Amino acid sequence: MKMLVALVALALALAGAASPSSSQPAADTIVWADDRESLILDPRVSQSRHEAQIIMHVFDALIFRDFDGKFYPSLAEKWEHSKDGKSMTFTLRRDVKFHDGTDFTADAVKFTFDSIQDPKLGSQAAIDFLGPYESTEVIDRYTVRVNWKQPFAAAVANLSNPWLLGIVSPAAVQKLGNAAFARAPVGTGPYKFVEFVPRVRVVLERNDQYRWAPKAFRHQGPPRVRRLVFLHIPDSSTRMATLEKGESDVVDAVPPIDVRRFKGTRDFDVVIGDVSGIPFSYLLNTSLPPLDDVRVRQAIMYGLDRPKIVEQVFFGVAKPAFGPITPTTPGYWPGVEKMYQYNPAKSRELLDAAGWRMGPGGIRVKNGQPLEVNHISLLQPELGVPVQAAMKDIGIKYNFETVTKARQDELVMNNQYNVGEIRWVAVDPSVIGIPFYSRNIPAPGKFKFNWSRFGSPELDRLILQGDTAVDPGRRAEILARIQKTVLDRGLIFPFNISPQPIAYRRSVQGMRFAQGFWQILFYEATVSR
Amino acid sequence: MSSYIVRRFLGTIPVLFVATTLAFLVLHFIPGDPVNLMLAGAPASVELRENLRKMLGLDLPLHEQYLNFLTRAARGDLGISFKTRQPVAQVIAQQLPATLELAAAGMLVGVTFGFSLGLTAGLRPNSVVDTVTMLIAIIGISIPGYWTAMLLIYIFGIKLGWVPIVGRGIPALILPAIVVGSFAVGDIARLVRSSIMEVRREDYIRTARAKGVPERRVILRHALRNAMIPVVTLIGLQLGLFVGGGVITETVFARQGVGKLLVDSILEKDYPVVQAVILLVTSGYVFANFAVDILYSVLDPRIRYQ
Repeated sequence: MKMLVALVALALALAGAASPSSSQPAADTIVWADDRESLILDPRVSQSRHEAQIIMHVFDALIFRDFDGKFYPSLAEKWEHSKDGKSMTFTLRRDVKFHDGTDFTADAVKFTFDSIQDPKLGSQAAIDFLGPYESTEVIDRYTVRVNWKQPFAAAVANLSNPWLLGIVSPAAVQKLGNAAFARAPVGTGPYKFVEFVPRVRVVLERNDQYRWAPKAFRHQGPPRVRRLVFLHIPDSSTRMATLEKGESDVVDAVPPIDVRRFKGTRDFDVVIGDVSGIPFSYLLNTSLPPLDDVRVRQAIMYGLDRPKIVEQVFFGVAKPAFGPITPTTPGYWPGVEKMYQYNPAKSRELLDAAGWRMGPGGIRVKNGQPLEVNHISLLQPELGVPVQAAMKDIGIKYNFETVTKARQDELVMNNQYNVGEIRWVAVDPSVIGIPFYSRNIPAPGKFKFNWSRFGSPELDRLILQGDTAVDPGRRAEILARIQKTVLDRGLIFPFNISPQPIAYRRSVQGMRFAQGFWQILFYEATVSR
Repeated sequence: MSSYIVRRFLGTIPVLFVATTLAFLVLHFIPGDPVNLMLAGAPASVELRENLRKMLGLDLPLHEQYLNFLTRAARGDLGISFKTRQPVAQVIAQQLPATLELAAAGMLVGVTFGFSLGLTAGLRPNSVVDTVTMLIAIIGISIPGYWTAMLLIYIFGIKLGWVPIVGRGIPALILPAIVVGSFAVGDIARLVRSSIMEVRREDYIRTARAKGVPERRVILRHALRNAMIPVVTLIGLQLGLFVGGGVITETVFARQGVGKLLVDSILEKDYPVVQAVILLVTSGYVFANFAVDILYSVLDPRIRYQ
């Protein structure tokens, strides 16, 4: 009995010591519920698009890029490419202050970009985004020049990314050190960091000094909503329950079934972002039989009815994809939409021509070997059943193995798969080079992304030309050729555009998608309770 | 007694050593590279990955990594989390209060209801009351925690709106405590019941009754006290389980906690955090058992340690 009393006392003491919970959000607060946790809030280090949702409210980049692809002055009033395309000169605003009260100057730009190169920082994405970076020169207090080793086509797009190349306060980094700065970030953005409770929540508060909003926004000056709270709620049912009950206002990663339940209701609505970058796609391994024959790869591609399968599996939340970059990505070539339209008769023809004859049990055979394809699935295993059925229909035994990330990486590095899955959220089309550069073919111990394992000097040259073509018109031309080539060769089968379904309470208005259609910008948002 | 305590304490050191070594080996032999897992499929360059491996000391041979871990651990330094880049001790310290809170509250629910049900059933064996209470106990054991959790959230969180769904503090602790406690209720109730039934047949109970001791006193002073010994063992073990095993409850209610930290860290191969949590959970078990052994001698004066 004593033990029982002691347990009661302990429980009460612990519960009493804990901070009281705020069950309902305050009138001037927006509560966001995220399926993933945010642990690193330093743009230079982070690689997570969930952390980006927070980081982009604390930091500004030199340039602002709207979701429609238009660029606006942000921390830089204007910018200019050098003739050789290897450097850019930025004229900076003179009225900007960091949240710690220090002035934003050319030194901060240099400090940010130079520190990203420091191996001890351990940058997880920003260092790639700076491209073939060489140096930053401070020309005067408000003029700065960034130099690259070769012309860098993605420069403007990448430098307008606040969650990777947002400008940090050098004073704050020096005071706190890199590790602590990642949990108490200081930037120039519309919101200031307030509180970080690991794996539970991050709280931001309005920056009342904010006078440098990009002209893309109709609203100017400090943001309208005082506080932003980012909760981490991993379970989707709980996440939706908090929205329904009023413990959160905006919820990400809404399951397709809940999209139906919340869309267009009296108190709630759902917006779906068609995410930019590489859509959810199958990469077809050209180095192993039977997919070393382009006709077999093409047969698979003609044999899958994307619009129908995607509609069935995602209840209309996701759209089918036809090209290796999505329509919201700059440089998208609409020609892809006419390629590989569903045509099972053509699939059968191609397989016949490749020597695969119909065998027992409806599976094709060649030289006594059944036509068997091994697919490793990490990202969208829910497509397995309809894909298997469609493949059976044209005589392919399609093995679908659901794997963990660790297992996937092993199989990919050791070349033990026929088909793998990728998708990337990206704003700039340069992402298209990553799965097709010959230097990116994986090897034992080397995890890389050319899972089609197709290396050709022609494709390498095209990708390099695209990455260095600073002129947008010329770049679009090259990108169109890349898109056509990788589909012609049957290297990638784009399946569906990754949807970002966001459910929200109707009392929250004025949200807009950030570039890339994944994150939500709350700068202009209002809330009425 | 005190020399016994010292001996038991020293005995824990090899246990902890073996547990962490096993954890280290298992983690390194299952497939998956911490850096690739950390980047979660992001299209990062090879140079970026190599740099991260170097920074985290993953480029060193396995035996060197192990020696580094041991020498640091001996000094009380558990290393830096790969994922958050904080000292591991700090990472765990942030998660521990929520775990202890939930374990204590869950145990409170488990012990209160487990005891009441077990006692009610054990005193009237094979009656209707017995059957009904044992049915409740079995339901408590069999229903999966996430299902109970979703049901409770729906009824008490959304429909009735009595308690918050997520957050900290006593109101937000009620539902998770019921979910965690419901496992313990069944186990404790069944054990209390069989223990009581067994003890009631003992000679000293008959003697006590023959002396004219009131029935209430016979149950509370004589029967219950002797029936407690296996029950205390069970509670000790379950408390250890609560510290490491609250992962489903922590996930559904979006709570902080060591259980979820452990599972996430294993999936991401955040070695330093996994090692430290294993060390913590193992210590938790060892000391819970230790406390149980000491409690025996309090409950039963015939048990003495030398």
